[in-house]
Amino acid sequence: MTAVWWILTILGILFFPGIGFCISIALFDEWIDRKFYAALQDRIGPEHAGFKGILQPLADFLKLLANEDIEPEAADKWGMRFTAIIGLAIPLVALLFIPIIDTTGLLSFEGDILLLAFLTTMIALIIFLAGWFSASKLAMPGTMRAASQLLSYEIPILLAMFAVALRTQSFSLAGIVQWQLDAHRPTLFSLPMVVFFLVFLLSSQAELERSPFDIPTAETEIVGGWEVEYSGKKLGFFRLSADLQMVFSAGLAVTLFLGGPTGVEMWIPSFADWLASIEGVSGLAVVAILYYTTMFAIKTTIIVLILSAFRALMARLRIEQFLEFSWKWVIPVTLGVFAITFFYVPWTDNVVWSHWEGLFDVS
Amino acid sequence: MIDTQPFTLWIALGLVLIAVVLLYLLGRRIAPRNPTPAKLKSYACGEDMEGGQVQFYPNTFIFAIYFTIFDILAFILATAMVTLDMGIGYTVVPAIFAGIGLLGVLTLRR
Repeated sequence: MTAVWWILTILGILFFPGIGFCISIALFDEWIDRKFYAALQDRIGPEHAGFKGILQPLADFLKLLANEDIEPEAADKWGMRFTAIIGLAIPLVALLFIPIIDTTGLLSFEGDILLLAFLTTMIALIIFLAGWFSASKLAMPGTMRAASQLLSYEIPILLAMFAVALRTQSFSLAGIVQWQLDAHRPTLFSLPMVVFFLVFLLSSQAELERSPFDIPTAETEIVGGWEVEYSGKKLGFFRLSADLQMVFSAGLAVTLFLGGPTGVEMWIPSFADWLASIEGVSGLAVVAILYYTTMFAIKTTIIVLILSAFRALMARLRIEQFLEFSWKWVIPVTLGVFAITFFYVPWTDNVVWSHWEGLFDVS
Repeated sequence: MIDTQPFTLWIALGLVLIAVVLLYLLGRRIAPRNPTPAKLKSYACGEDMEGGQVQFYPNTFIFAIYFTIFDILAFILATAMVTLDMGIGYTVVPAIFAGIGLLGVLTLRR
């Protein structure tokens, strides 16, 4: 561990591709989301702060940071502070594992997908605790709805993540991206994985509590649900945390199903070799970093646009309809496809895919 | 950084926590503070309602139990691959576990 390594690691965690970059891309994606959502509803959306309102999410966050922070007398004040801080820290830590500027994440080890599964569950628990600590009669129904919904949609997400891990025989995100590079195709390009991808997107939408799954925070019915007692910086933290969770979900979908930060080199091995060869070269390494970051940003934005279109197209339904939908349809279908896939993989791997893979192999 | 050392994880966690706490303290510094008794009441749509802890809804508890069962099932599915070497067991064992889980869910549906 040289001094240079220490400096690079700490700068990486703090600025690029760590906290600073993740917060920037989260605010950018919120702007994209709001603009697109507004366009689908025939509105203009954020307009004044910066170019076409691109700085509006940042302005909102800073405004909330400078607002008075009211902690109700009945509430558990230290609990509220704790949940706000941890609620922002968890998605930030989780984002450090997503491969952004390289085919491996900033943090990466064999088995990190299990840690990410644990962190996504932690987010659900923090949201439950946030509502519980605010001790409000209006927050409680929202909290209970949030807890039931998040716990119900956590299972399909875990199954989709583990299905990819089993398919690629790797428990690290770096290994999954490498498998896709070696196989010259994203994981998505096979029938069962399409089902898991759709399940992952649907469940992500539920985890993010966005329409049509926004009944825990239904602002016209239970005035914000679990976050009703939060104001000022704590509300700002939860809003920023929601944006970071959106980027994390989109980034995880990209990594698991769409080849992560890689692009055309998946089909052009000579380009992949060139990218690998310039990684050590000081001047050219920037090119590789820029290329991977751009690819990641483009793919993440596409996923955010899909989620945003989904949000605009659907109306809010009742809570028990969602719970029924999860336990009666999403989980059985996911488990069924899971069972079928792992009977079906040995044959496809040896016979069918080897035939199709030849078509994609350009070299 | 292909193989992250355990201490790098702790450094990352510590740096993230420090950054978030600093942001929190910044908010504490720049925000005004003048609480009045009316502000400190729990939100109740303008009604006179006492704040305070509410009873836990039992429905959520049922979902928590389901979640625990299926969370464990998902982790068993994931680790089924690790315990067995490659070969036919690598795919069939997860499939059998998934089938058992499917039977469980279908029983719940009735």
